[in-house]
Amino acid sequence: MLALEGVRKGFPGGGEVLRGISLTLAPGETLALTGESGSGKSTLMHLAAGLDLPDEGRVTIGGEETTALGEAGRAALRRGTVGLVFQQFNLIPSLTAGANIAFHARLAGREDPAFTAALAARLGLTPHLAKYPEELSGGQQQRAAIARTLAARPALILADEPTGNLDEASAGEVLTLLLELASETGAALLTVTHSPKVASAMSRRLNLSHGQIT
Amino acid sequence: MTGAPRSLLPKNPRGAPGGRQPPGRGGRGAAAPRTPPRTGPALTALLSHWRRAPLQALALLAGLALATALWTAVQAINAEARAAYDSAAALLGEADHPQLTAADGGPIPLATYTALRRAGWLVSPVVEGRLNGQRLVGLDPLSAPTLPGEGAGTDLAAFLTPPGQIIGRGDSLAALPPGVAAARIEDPSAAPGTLVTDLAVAQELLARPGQLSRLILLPGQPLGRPPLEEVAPGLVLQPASGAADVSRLTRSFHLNLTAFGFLAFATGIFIAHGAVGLAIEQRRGLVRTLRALGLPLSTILRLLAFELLLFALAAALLGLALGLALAALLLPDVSASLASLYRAEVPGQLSLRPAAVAAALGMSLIGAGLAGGSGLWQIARMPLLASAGGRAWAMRAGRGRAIQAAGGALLLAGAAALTRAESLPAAFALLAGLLLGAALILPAVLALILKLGEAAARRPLAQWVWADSRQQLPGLSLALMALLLAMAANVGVSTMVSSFRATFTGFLDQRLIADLYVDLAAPEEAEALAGLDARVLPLLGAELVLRGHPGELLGMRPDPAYREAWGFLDALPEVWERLDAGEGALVNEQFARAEGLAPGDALSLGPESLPILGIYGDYGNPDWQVIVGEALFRRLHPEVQPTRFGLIGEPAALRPVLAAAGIPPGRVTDQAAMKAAALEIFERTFTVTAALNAATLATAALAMLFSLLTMAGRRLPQLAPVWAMGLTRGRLAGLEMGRAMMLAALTALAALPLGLALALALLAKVNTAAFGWALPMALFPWDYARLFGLCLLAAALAALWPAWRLWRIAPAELLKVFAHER
Amino acid sequence: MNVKALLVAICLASPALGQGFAGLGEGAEGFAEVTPGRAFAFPEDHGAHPAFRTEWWYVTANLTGPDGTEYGAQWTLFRSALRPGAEQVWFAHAAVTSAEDHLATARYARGDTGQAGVTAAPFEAWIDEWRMAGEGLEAVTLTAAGPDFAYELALEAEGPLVL
Repeated sequence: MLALEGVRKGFPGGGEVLRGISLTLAPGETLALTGESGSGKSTLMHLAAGLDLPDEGRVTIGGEETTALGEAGRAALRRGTVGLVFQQFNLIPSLTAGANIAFHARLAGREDPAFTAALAARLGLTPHLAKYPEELSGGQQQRAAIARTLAARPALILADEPTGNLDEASAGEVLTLLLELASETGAALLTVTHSPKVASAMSRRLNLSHGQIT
Repeated sequence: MTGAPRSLLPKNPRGAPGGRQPPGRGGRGAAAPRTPPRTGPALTALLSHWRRAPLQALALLAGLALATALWTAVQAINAEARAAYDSAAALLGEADHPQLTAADGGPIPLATYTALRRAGWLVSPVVEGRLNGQRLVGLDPLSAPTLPGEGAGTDLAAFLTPPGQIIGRGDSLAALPPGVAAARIEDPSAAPGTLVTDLAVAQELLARPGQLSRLILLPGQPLGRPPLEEVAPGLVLQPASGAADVSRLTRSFHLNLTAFGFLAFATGIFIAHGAVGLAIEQRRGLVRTLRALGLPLSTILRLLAFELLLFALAAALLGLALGLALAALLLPDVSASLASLYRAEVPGQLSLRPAAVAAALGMSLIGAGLAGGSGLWQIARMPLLASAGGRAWAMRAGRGRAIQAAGGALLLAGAAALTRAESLPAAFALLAGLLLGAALILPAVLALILKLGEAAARRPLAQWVWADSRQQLPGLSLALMALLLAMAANVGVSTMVSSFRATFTGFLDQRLIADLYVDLAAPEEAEALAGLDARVLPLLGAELVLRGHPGELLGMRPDPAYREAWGFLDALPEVWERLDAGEGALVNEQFARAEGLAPGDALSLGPESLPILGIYGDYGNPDWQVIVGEALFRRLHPEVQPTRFGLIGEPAALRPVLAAAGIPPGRVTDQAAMKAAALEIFERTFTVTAALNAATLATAALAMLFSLLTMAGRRLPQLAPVWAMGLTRGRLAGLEMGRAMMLAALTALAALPLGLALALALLAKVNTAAFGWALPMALFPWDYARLFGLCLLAAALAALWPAWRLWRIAPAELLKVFAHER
Repeated sequence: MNVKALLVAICLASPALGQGFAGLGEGAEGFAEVTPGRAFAFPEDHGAHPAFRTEWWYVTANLTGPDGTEYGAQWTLFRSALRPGAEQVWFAHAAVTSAEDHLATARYARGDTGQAGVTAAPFEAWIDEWRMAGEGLEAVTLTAAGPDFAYELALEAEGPLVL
């Protein structure tokens, strides 16, 4: 589903963030990516999502090499194949929680209102669907961001600290849900996390240090 | 910069708990000495914002400078015109004094003057003529009601003693032949195109020894004068010419200009307000930090006010220069329209008046105050610790929108209440209420439309665009209000001008019925017209006073052409038959309106009392007018010998016959040429209005550009997730442009009914109050479509740069949104 | 009307007039000067002397009305030359007074229009319609008018000329 081969990426101002990364992620596989701050986890995520291009090496998502695609092609890839759970949630402030959750799925042309409603219910968001993001708590926003990604049924889920803003109980529930849904839809899941608990729930675990996998 | 505002420092600031305390001073328990906080670093910190936001600084400066410039331009034009009227009216007090002129229009011998004086008629002699294109006026300083060139360095003895003195503006004096011996005294306040000198000097320069043009009848005539006919039978008494009427007549014209200047000022302030508001909003954190560091709120407010003052001063200078340049550009057209509309002479050149500088400075300061006042108020009321929650801000925006809309509705209701009032100030108050009210309501209306659009949207992207537009509304609403005002003004004025033009063209067709018009040098030449194969219509006219107002009486020869062409606003049956029989008179609309006349009312003309048979439209004429049949006219004014004639016939056949009769072609004009000349005058009259309109629209586009640019930075976090979810930058940029154009289109649609209401108010209220005639309103869909396109184009141009920047933005910039820290 | 009149020629310039009339009191170059011992010749010397800078013709009269009311009347005509023998400016002042009222008016005239002047024989001093005229100075008619008053006085000299 996702393959990185000898990927290098430099800072705009010089110095390398990623120094020759290779990894593969098969459909249905779950992978935890851990590492210190500044180790290059976010950059790796961005490359894996087709948001950015490597300086060297190749990134292949769903069989398509990102460098070979134009901007429109990469946009289509993000729309149809990739699902991102941002650390900052990045909900669209002008849309209600409900519209936000349905947004990506509708954009990808895979809207399934029943599925979306079930997702919202399982994430405890049903009473909050008419609210705007700024009216939601941090935890509610994070759950809405996860729901948005899952509702689109992406083949590749990339999650950046998906439970960082949740208390322990709901973190556990969200994590379970994420894993369940990933396995239900056969999606590959790459999670960037600091939490050993989250990391241990994944089938594989990689540590990133100074731009290399250790 | 840092040292400069030391003077703003409060002498004894109220408690500054975190104020600088020198280390090692102030023992335990003892009060620390309270040294005043240093404001220099604080000001540097506040000002550093502008270095990071040069566009905001530019927007603020441009807004204030534009507002100042347009206002200054209009005021400079008005001041120039007013000064010209004053000097012209002051010259000999023509406005205030009746005059004696020769009944035959010829010169008056000096002996007649002496005879009048010796009979006890206190009159003052004037000789007047053209010299090298200037109006040369010779007067007697000992009897003239006012002395020329007071304060310009003339003294009576030098004025009276050969070679004498000539007083006028520099350009008029330069036109004098070099051989003239008289001293040239420059007086910048003199009437344009006019030179004043002693009677004897003028008579010599004009080669009119012993001749006078007219006599001014002075106030305070002695007792026991013999009647005028006994002393000077050849003279007739003319009432005061009414140069004072010029300022009364042109008042409406200048009021019009002022109104447009004010509108332009308002649009400029919208820009400045947006910029200041954003600058304050973005520095809330800084202000909080400064306060936490111990700078008193009052000091911060003072520093912000000082900063605003700096901007206002810079904008005043810039605006003054721009405004004067604009005024200089427009003045020739203004003076041309004033001359043709009201016979008011205004110089084509601008002089720098101290009042203009003061006005520019004042308006810039007022503008800065209006633009920055609410921002300072917000800072003043901002709590020290509360976080500036986005939701709180949005709720405030929503509540503010509701309050605004309520205020707007109130203003609209006020305007509606004024529709019955008749006076000019009421008419302008109506316009102001209409425009401001609509502008205030606009954001609420747009929010509603966007909400409906969002509800109706099927596709997710469309839904997002609608919702996101609504989110952007608070940031854009000022610019959109400016656009609404500009667009409505354009629709309204273009409707008014086009309606006026349509009416005026019809009016010209009615008035210019003859095929050829002939100007005779002397009445005797009329014999040459007798044998022509054409119907000859003498154009008979005499000036007269109608109920104390200057007016004219026309005599109309019975001719079928009049009956075919003329229409009436209101008339009795058999109006033509009765007119030709001398059984009544026609009056023009301005006269009828001013005096409340209706057909059937009686009108006294000399010894006669006649019924009013009809009322006709008479557009562009400042005077009152009465028309009677030719026979009656000749009975009332046997002395009038017509020198102008209209000929109805075949122009090609008539021209050679006229030339053979000794009438040069230069004195024969055909109908088309007359119409073209009249229309040209008409078009020039509205050049200024069109220019100001264009400036207003451009300002509104600029307001939009600045709003979009300043919002662009804040919009990235809203756009980046959509980009991440699979939209290209190009697509996002296209949507941004489309959004701007959609908002502009909605605003333009809202402006259309507003503009039509404005046109209706201008035509039915302002015109009637200002000129004395009402105009039927016509609709010009093609014009509106063009304006709509122009509005979209303006929005597209404004959105182009921000969109282009988004399109070309480095993905790294978008990625920053996701990788904020870590 | 019982009229008793006195005709006086006084050589006293009023300072207010000298300064106030448009600065005409300045600069006396080229004008003839008044010298002692000059022999007068009448009636010629009743007329104007354009070589001199300024001169005037002046009447004050005490009048008694038919009902015994006392009135005063005054009439003055000034001539002032801007250049010796050339441009003349004329100024006149007339007034009537009673115990309660003082009515006065003034006239100005330039010399080149004929609206003011003085001729010696027959004697006439005039400005506009105001006149002091007679065959000689033994009997003259004096007229003046303003917006609020007018008078016409017949004056008779009861004694010889006094210089």
